[in-house]
Amino acid sequence: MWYNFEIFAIISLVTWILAIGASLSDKTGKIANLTAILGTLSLAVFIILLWANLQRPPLRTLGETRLWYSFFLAISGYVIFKRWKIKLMLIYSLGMAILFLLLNYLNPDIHSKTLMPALQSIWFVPHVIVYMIAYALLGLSALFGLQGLYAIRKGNLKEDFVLKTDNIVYIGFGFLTLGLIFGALWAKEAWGHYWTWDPKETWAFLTWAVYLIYIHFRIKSNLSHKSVFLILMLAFVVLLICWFGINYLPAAQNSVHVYSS
Amino acid sequence: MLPWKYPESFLIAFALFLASLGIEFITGTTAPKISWPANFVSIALLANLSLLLYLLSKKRAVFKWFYSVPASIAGITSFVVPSLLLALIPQKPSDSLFFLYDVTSSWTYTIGVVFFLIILGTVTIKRITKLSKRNVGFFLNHFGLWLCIASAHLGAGDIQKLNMYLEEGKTTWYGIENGNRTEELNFAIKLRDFSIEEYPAKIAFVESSTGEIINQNNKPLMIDPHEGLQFNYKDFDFKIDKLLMSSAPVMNRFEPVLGMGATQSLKILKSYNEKVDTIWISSPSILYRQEMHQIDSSTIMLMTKPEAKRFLSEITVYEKAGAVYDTINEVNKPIKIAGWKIYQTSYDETMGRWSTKSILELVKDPWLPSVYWGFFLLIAGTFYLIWTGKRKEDM
Repeated sequence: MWYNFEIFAIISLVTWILAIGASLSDKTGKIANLTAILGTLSLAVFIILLWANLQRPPLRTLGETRLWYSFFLAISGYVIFKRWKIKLMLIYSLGMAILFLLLNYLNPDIHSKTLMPALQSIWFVPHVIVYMIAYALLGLSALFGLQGLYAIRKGNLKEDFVLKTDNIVYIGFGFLTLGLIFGALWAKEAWGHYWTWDPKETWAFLTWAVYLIYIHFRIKSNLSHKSVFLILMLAFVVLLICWFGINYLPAAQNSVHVYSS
Repeated sequence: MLPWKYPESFLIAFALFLASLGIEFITGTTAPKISWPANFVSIALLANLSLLLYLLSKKRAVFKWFYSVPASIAGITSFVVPSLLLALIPQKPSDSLFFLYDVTSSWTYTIGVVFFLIILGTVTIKRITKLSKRNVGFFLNHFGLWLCIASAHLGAGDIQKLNMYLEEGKTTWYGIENGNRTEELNFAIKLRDFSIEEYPAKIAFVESSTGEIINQNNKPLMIDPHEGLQFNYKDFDFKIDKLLMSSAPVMNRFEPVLGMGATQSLKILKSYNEKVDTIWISSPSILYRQEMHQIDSSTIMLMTKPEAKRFLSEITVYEKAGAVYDTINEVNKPIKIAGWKIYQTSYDETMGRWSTKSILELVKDPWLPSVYWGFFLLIAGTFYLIWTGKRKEDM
């Protein structure tokens, strides 16, 4: 069944690259929409055919999960793009989707294929995807923070820009919440409890809480825009500790989330 | 006008923090872990306290503080500070300084969570009273969070965990709590068969003087084998000719067998200066000597212990009520028997795939539905948040 993969993958790759290109140039909004949808549909058809052919949901091998990564990244990126006009998210999501398709196409041995039994779960894909989107959006919000600080120095900061920054945080925070809950639901099935204060969980909670504080500060406070942008960048530092930093923390040596061996 | 703003709010949170430390040092104990029905009463009291605070805010302005934004942030902070300690300090069982080493049992954490819940509850009630379309998302997020945090924390005292140690062919009708106390169950389990499916064991390159795996680019030098795979080390080229998942040594080679002690082995073609050697290496076995290969004076190539791909217990369940049935318990696929959720957790690891023992974990968490309701409300609220974002009017 994977024999036909090249055809569908090439359609998706070409149309998505077109969509990225089209969304970079402002005038071709229709082309970006059409190609983004077409590429996603092509992948959807392949997944359906594969599913029918295997007679089970294609969720068992790493290659199969990469298909879902691509598929859901493309859909989420497109929805965020349509709803919020954040072009960068469309480009990022389609870029990541292309990357995962290419990984399947070239099939390099980039990481260990052994997946411990507890990780072989249908929650794997949704959990990882919502985090990828959340991290991307919150990373974007940190960039906006930087741009905001620059604008303050130049003296041309607009209120609309601050609102747009807040909105990116809202959407990113939403995906962060979903990631946390999906992780909890998965943990209940795999380890018997939904929350064990595993170091990664603890840091994920702290990250979530820092953005929660940011959101509430923004509703009512006398903080200057400068401090707001600084908080936003600080929050991203907490996120980075959660993502990479915990590998180096003494508290995290027995975590299931420490990715190095 | 609000009575208190940020400085006062943080001061209140800080005062509570100091008070909780005071309680810990005076009593020298952890916070009590409450169970049914005390935890249910506590949740009801917390909800009523929030309601009372809201009602009082109509009479006296000072109570408006409880649903103000500064109070919310103070509340979140008093939950976050203990979590930060938890995140930075390795936790261990201890008989003092709980707020550092056993955070989740400490007064600091308990009082922080309770304060957080009171504020969150009051905010939620304040908004329910003005039910509008705009407040739907607000309600889902805030009440959802309240419900899951309240049930998770106060319900923790009702969680029961047992281990069941099964042996092939034998029937077990009790579980063991905390490693010693035996508890009789209202069902019995007979382990018919325990089985493990393995991944091909990794090939590792080991320093012969130290016995440690060689590091290359800061990563241990290991390879996932499959037939036909080619790789090289120093000036040697290797090609995997055969991968046997279950084999035993016969003369100077390996042959496929299924019996006890069978192990994984690899037939590898090693070429150097146009000379080709055939070598065999194997995984550790409980029965046979592990074959390794000395590549040169300083390096050994060997197969590591295989990792489990999946492991499962085929069991027969006998319920006291009379039902008898066969089922399978596998990692990530817990089963439910008589109110218990049952997880495949472990086996006799020294025996590897020849283990005839299987360890199950039994969990009873009566508050789980309540926590999950909280999750579902939060998920719904989150979709609302992602879709509507922040409106100009909210500023």
